[in-house]
This record gives sequence, structure tokens and C-alpha cells, in this order.
Amino acid sequence: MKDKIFVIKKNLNEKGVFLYFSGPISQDFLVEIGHTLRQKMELEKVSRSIIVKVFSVFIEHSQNIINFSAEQCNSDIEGSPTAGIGVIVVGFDGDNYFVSCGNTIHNSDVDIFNDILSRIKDMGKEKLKEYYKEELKKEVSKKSDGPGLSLIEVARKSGRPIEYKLTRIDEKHTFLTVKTVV
Amino acid sequence: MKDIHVKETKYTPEIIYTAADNTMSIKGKSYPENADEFYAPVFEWLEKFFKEDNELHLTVNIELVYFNSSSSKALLNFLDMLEDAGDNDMKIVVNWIYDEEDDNMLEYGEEFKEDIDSIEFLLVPIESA
Repeated sequence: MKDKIFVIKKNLNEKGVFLYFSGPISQDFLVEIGHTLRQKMELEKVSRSIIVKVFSVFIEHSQNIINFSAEQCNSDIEGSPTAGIGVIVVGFDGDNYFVSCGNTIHNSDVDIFNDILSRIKDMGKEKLKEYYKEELKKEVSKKSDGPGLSLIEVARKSGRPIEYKLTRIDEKHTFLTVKTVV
Repeated sequence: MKDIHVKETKYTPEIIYTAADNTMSIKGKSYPENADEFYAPVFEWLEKFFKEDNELHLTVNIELVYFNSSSSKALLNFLDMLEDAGDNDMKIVVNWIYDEEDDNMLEYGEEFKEDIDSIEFLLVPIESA
């Protein structure tokens, strides 16, 4: 029998991936993993500004999974933690750190994500700042958070244009992947 | 108004108000998945403070080392409330305290400052730990 887990690990390591998670993501989970991620990078003497950027992108992506994944893992009991199902990947490609995430979204949300992601993809630093401020003011007047602010924040931390993909799964669901190179 | 003390957690800041010197401080990290929910009681308290209290001044020290996008929305909300009070002739000073080596936090402070008119908003660097 082939050791499948070893094969997966080897494949991921060859691509520079040092953190890979697929499953339910909760606030407590991201706090602990985020802390370990920081520790690992501090031990490797990564510069403080890069650590902050990687950490920030990791947090925003993970919280987007909690808030917007179409696959949720929640109990009906009030006050119990909520978790969204998704994939989060962190790695180093030899030159830069990258953070990728993926989760299922409802087809009815595809336009919202596509609209924001296609806009920020080609924006420079100044444009992103303006868009962030505009979105910040818009969000303040709304009750609940949309994904806009978080995705713009991710793009602002990214050294390269963010890459994203929307893959239709069926008539109700689409898989969204976002890759950020810090 | 009575003093308040919200204890720091792994992902939410310590929030203190001391009536003796009319100072409020927000210190630590802020990245709850829903910042509105976390800050709602603070905002309620602040609304009451502006309505009931006859104090003519308030100092707010904001010393955050990290906050998520959800918290930046709450921070803007907070500053808007302070601005409204500033428009009503209350003297408000906000100290945006950041580590001198943390360009990121300086940049956020500068961005908030750009849109502020009726209150004093100071960028205060402190020595790196």
C-alpha cells in the first residue's frame, strides 16, 4: 500500500507549501494557527513587515471562509462557535510567501465576488487605498459585513495582483479560489 | 460615568475608561470575526457618555498592534461618533499610538487622520519594544 498522506505531504512540500488545512475553520482555530504561523516565521527571522502581511492575509481569508463559505458547520445552540468549511494554504516559493484559500460559495454570490475581485485585480496601491476608503464608508452604513473590505485589504497586502478562479460546481454552488503573493 | 474595564483576550483589545482623568484607551489586537458585535457595548456606552455626561473633554488612546478589516469598520464608526461629539463642542483628543518601526500602523493612522475635521488626531510613535 502506498502511504497517501506521505505522498500528499511530499507534493505540497515540493511546491513550497508548509501549512495546509482543509475542513471546518472557526475563530478559535484561526487564532491558534495564526499564532503558530507567526512563531514559525519569527524563528526563521523573516522581516516583521512580511510577517504582518502574511498573518493579515491569512486572517482575512480564514474569516472570509467563516463568514461566506456556503458549507457551514454550525449548531443551532446560541453562542456556540461558527465554522465555515474551506481550504487554506500558506507557503514560500523560494522568493515570496503566498497564501491561498478556497471555499464553496452560493451561485447567487458569484457576481458580488466577481465584481470586487475583477476590480481589485488591476488596481495599483493608490487606487486600492481609495477603493478601501470608499468601501469602508459604505460598509459602515450597513448592518452586516460584505466580503469587499476584506478582499481589498488582502489585495493591499499583496505584492502582486491577486489571482482568483471561480469554478462552477452545480446549479447552486461555485468554488472560489484566491491566491495572494505577499 | 463609571469606569469601564474590558479585559484583553487573544484577539480582542483591552478597553478602559477612567473617569478620574476622562481617558479612554483601546490597547492590543483586534480581529474578531464580527467586530460590530464585539464593539456594540462600547458604542452603547459611548452614546450614553455623550448624552449624559457634562464633561467637556475626552482623551482617547488607541494603541493597536494589529486589526482586521472588520475592526477597521468599527474603528471608523467609533471615530465618527467622536467627530459628532466634537461638532457639539466637546474637546476630544485621539492619540494614535504606534510602534515607531511599524509602518503599517502609521499608514492606517494617517488614513484615518485624513478624514478627520472636528477633533484632534495625533500620531504618536513609541519606541520599539
